[in-house]
Amino acid sequence: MNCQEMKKMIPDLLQNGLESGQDEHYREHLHSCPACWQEWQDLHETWTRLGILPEEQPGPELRRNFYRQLEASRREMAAAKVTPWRQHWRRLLPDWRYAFPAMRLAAAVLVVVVGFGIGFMAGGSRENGGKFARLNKEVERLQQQVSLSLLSQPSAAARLQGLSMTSRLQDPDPTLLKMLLDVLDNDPSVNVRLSAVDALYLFADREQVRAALTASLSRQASPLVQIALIDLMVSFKEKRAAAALKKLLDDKQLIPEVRQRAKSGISQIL
Amino acid sequence: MKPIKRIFIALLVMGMVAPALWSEDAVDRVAVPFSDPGKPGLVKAHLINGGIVVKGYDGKEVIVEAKPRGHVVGKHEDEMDDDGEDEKRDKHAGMMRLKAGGGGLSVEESKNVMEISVPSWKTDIDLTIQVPMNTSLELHAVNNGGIKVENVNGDIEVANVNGGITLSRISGSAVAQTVNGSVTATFNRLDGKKPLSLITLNGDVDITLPATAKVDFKLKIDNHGEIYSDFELKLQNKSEKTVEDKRSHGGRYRVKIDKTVFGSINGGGQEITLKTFNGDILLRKAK
Repeated sequence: MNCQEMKKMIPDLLQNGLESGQDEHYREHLHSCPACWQEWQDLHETWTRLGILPEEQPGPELRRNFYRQLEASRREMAAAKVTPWRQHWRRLLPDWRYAFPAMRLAAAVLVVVVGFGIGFMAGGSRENGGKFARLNKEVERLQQQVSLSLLSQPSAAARLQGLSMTSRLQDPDPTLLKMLLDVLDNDPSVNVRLSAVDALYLFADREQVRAALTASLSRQASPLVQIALIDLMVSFKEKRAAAALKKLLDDKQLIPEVRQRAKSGISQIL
Repeated sequence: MKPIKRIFIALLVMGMVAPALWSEDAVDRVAVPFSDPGKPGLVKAHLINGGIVVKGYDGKEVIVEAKPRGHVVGKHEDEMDDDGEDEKRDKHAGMMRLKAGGGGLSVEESKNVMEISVPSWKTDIDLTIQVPMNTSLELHAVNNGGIKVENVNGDIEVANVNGGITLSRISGSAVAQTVNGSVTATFNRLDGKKPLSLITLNGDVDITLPATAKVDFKLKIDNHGEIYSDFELKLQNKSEKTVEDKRSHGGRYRVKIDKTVFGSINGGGQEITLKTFNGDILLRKAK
């Protein structure tokens, strides 16, 4: 019994089991030859592990898929029987794939022209222009509403967000302007009031806004807001602004920085 | 009704126990839970004389400590200046001052909003408040102390007058303003939505942001101030015409308002306003 023969016998032994083996000398060889023993061990282990694996069962999906595919291919066959008349058509028409380049160019030009024509007819009509304008207005109205609701939030960060939204508006309605002026005068947070000054600056081309900003100066206690308002009023270059600044200087409690700013402001206006 | 009752009892018990425990330095200490600890609460603190320190911690209650400083406002200055009035000082030499009821700390909680105030203005009081990390804050102080906030994720609103503001390891929105003092803020991250605003009259504005923060800055300096930045600040074109164009496309502001600079980092995004009248603006990249 040599190793060569032994190897041939291993599959048999695996199936029948070593113990049940009829031949004593196989066992003897295995025990005496370490190389064969090792091989036997490895294969035996793999064999038992394979036994642990559950047997693969075809799922219910398999059956369904099979019949679906079968049905599909049957239908295809049936369709193929009907095709001949289509092939007739194809024979009648010229094959555009092999048409002259000039023909292809003409087709492309035709598509472009038709596209332009449709676009011109759709976009050029006055009614649509009106629709866009209305849409724009609608968006702006919506933004104003969002700003208004943000401005009445208890969180200062939300109010700042509302103020920064107003910078995108072209045409704020009176309610929003009134709200902005109210924030400028009464908001508990200095940061928000300062931001309101910047927001109102964008609408300072309105006489009403300029007047309200000028009037607000005397109501501000924070030096930061006072300075921001002074800077703004200097940019208006109005006599009324100079008068408001002079009035501010009467305030004995005014801090030096603000006093200096107001003085230089007056000299710039006059 | 209920939470208020509970707090009342807590204060009562503390009032009895506190003197025994902390009689040495007369610290008032209260621990108050929010009525709904599952939701982030809001803590409001008002103080006239003294500083406020708020720290986020891994707990559910708000722990407030009020510690009066060693001197009475005004009296201290007298003693320092008037060397002649030795008799006055001798009058209470070697005696221990008894504090009647500490600083008069009051804590009220209702619907997850906690109001902390110290009505006394005669003594400088240092408030130390520990809050659950996602609490929002509204802090106001006036004299003799700074406001410090550390490790808080909620929205923060701070106003001081004579004192600085330091916000560190925060990640919510921050709206802070003082008159005399610097404003320093270090953000762990930005929430990317709510605008931030840090403003002072006399002092620096110093902000540290994560390197990847997407921000639109609005910076304003005035007298002799400078802007320093670790970030590559992309300045917006200031010429009149281009900015008008931007507005019509839903863009931002029109022109610079005297010394205001508009710039963005990492493509822009969240709005941050930084202003100082006498001081510098520093934009730092977190390391």
